[in-house]
Order: sequence, then structure tokens, then C-alpha cells
Amino acid sequence: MNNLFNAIKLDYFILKPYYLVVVIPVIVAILIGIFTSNPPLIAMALLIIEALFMNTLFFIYEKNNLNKLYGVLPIRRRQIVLGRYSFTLLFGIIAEFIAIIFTLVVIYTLNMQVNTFTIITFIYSFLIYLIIVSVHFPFYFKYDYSKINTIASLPFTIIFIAVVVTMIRNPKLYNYIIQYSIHNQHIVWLTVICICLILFGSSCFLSCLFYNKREL
Amino acid sequence: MNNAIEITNLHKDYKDFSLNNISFLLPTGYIMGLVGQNGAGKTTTIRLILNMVTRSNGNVKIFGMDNIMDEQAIKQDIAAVFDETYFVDGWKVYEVEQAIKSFYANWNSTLYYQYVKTFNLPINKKVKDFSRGMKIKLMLAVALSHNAKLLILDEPTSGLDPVARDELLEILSMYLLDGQRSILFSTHITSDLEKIADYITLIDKGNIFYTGTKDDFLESFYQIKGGLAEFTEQLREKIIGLTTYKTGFSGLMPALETKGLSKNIILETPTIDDILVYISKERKLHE
Repeated sequence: MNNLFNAIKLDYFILKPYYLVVVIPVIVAILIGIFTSNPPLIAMALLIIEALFMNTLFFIYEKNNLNKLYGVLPIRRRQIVLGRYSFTLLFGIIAEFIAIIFTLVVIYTLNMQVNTFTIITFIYSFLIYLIIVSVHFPFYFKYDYSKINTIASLPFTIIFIAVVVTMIRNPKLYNYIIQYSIHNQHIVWLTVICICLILFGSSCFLSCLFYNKREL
Repeated sequence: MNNAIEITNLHKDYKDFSLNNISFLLPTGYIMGLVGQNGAGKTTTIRLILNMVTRSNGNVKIFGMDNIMDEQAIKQDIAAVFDETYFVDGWKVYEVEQAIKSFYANWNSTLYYQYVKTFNLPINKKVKDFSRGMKIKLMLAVALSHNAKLLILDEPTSGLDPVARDELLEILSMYLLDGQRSILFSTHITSDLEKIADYITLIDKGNIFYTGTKDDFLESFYQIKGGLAEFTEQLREKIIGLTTYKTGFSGLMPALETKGLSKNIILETPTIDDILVYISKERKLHE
């Protein structure tokens, strides 16, 4: 437990020189929310950018020979992986919290109302953050960042293309899914949340397996 | 005598390289030099000791404990310095400490800042702005601040100027003073080892060529030189890394084989470098 906390702390320090960079997506996200007159987009944009920012941990790992640091420190590889996932989860929660504050500030500044769509966007933003991290991390725990950086985004590209193609070729199915989602909101919510949590857990398990076998 | 490191039949296979049956002992309180050409297997051996790579076979015991089963306990008492720094380049000296100290039960912050001061490390500079010598010293400061009983150095002196190298050797000598600490020092700058090493392990192309005390090592061989008149077929078979010239020959010969040689043949005590060079020549002759 102590080492898990140490691993989280180490990840915090690894990213520390780059925290100023985080300010830029916050500004970009706020501008997107203001100019589209759609403040909930702030949360969505911010969480997606922050999820991608988490890959920086692996970039720094490779650039600064942190494999050697982890090889020397008295910590198990499983604890390193769990530490990274825990840190990422905490970072996501903080980013979500900041996104909610900025969204609400913009909403009240523009004399708009908080509605169901706003709350749904908050929840979806965090779930998308989890999905991005869950898909990316196992790649980076298995391979070098520089070798896999482009390929790591491939699953999203494939899913996006698959969804678009399905929508075009089978509009009835698409309509059915939309109608079903509208009429069975609770089931859809439960399913989406469960899928995200299972994905995050499986991703962590897979990363442990990969990193255990990886040569430092 | 307790052993800091005890390696038995260590084996590691890669596609294009194998480390074969490496066995050696490093008694507590001594410095062992791990020497060999680039690519001989020194770094692989160190990475296996630190469990950074998985071994194919064999045993590694540190302080009498298995390096995999008791990895966490062992690493509390091990420190390593590599040829390249392993800290985030945007960190400053105090951030290095903050990030690392909580991993070690015996971390001593006062000692760390004492070393930082002794090594003249700039407090406000980032690691990326440090010179190579400073980076090595920073790794040493971390290594020495958690009272490590075993210091593993992998090519720390390559790229350092002679003054910085001398400073490093002085620090290492101080580190050993209490007799309870040991050092495994991998390098291809063997003149450093001739100054401070007690033991030598020479790895050649993944195999142990020699392991034992430095004095025995240097006394085990003679560098021989002679004219063509003294060169015989019998001699050719005994010489390691034979080089022939128009006027004579030179090479390395096991000390035991030098009895009864012609008085015209010159015998000189070789340096570790000489031995390495002749071994390399011998291998090339057989390839």
C-alpha cells in the first residue's frame, strides 16, 4: 500500500515539469465552450485533451531512461502499473472537477441554464477519459512510446470508421439504437458505466501482464 | 566471509547473443571490476542482477537472498549508477529527493544535501543543464543517501574527464571505508580498476574468462615479446592473441607456461587493458 502511494507520488513528480502545459487545453476548452455557445463542451474537450496528455508519462519514461529508475527502486512492477492507473484516475477526477467549475462559470456568465444535457456531458466526458486511457495504456506498457505512439490511436480510428460505415449502410439499425437509448435510458447508462469500468479494470490487468514481461 | 553477490550458472539467451553460465562471487567489503569489450555481456549481467531482465537459467543471490523472490528487500540496500542519468530532465536537485526518498526506509535527507554540497551540485539548475560529471554525481548522491550496502556501477566513468574520474574513484574509496559495503564496477576504462579494484571478473563474448582477485589476475599472465629466432610452433600454440611482425612477435601467455622460455624472450606484467586486447585478438584469429 505504501509503495502504491509512492508510485502515485512518483508519477506526480514525473509530470511536474509539464503541468504548465495543462493550462493550454483548459484555455482552449473554455474558448470552445464560449464560441460554440455550448458550455458543456468545455468538459468534453478538456477531459479528452487531458486523457491524451496522460500519454506524456510514457513519453517522459522513454526520454529520461526511467526504465532504469524503476529497475533500481524497491518496488514491484505490478505496483508501478497500479500506481499509474490510480494516478490517472485521480488526475481525471481533478480534471473533471475543474471542467465542471469552468463549465458552470461560463453557463452563469452567458445567462444559460444547467440542464440534463449538461450533466450527461459531465458524466460522458469522464467515461470517455477512462476509455481513452484504458485503450492507450496497455500499448505503452508493452512497447516503447516512440514505436507505438501512432498505432495506439488505431483502435479509435477503427471504431470511428466502423460506426460511420454502419450508420451509412444500415440507417435502420442506427435509428433503432437511438430510439432504444431514449426509451431505456437507465439500462443504457448502467451498460455504458459497466463497460467503462470493466474496460478500465481489464486494461489495468493487461498492463500488469505486459509490464511484468517487459525488459527494463 | 559473507558475499554481497553470489552468481551461479547465470544464463540469458537473446536472438543474437547469449550470456553463458556466468558464475562469480563478490565478498562483502570489496570492489569487483567487471570488464570486457563492448557487447561482452557486462550490462546484461548487471540488468540480470537487478532483475531488470528475466534470466533464462541460474541463480543470483544478493546478501544471501534471491534477487527475484526478495527483490524489494534487496533493493532497499542496493544503489545503481548507470552511464546515463535516470532522472526526469526537468527535475531540480530537491525534486529528485522528493520523488525518490519515500521508497527507501533508510533515506537520510541531511546526508543527501551534504553530498549535494560536497559534490558542488547546483541546487537551482535542472538535471538537463547538468554536465555529465554532475549527473553521475547526482546519481551517486541518491545512491549514498539511503545507506546502500551494494553499489552497482555500469560504465559510470565513460565520457568523464580524468579529473572527474579521479574524484569518482575517491568517492568510491570513501564509500568502502566501513568494510560493510561492496561495489560492482563495470567499465572498459580498466586503468580505473587497476587503482581501486580488489577482484576482477572478465567476461568475453558472454562467457567468463576469469574471475578472482586482481593481483592473481595480473600475475596469471605475461605479455611476451621476442624475435623470430625464438618463435617456435610450440610457442605459437601457447600464445594468446599472437601478433607477428617482420622482426618478431608478441602476445599473452599464461604465467605457468612461461617456465623454460628462452632468455631472449621478454616477459612483462600486462595491464588489464593488455589482457583484454590480446583476448580480443585471439578471438578474432579463431573467427
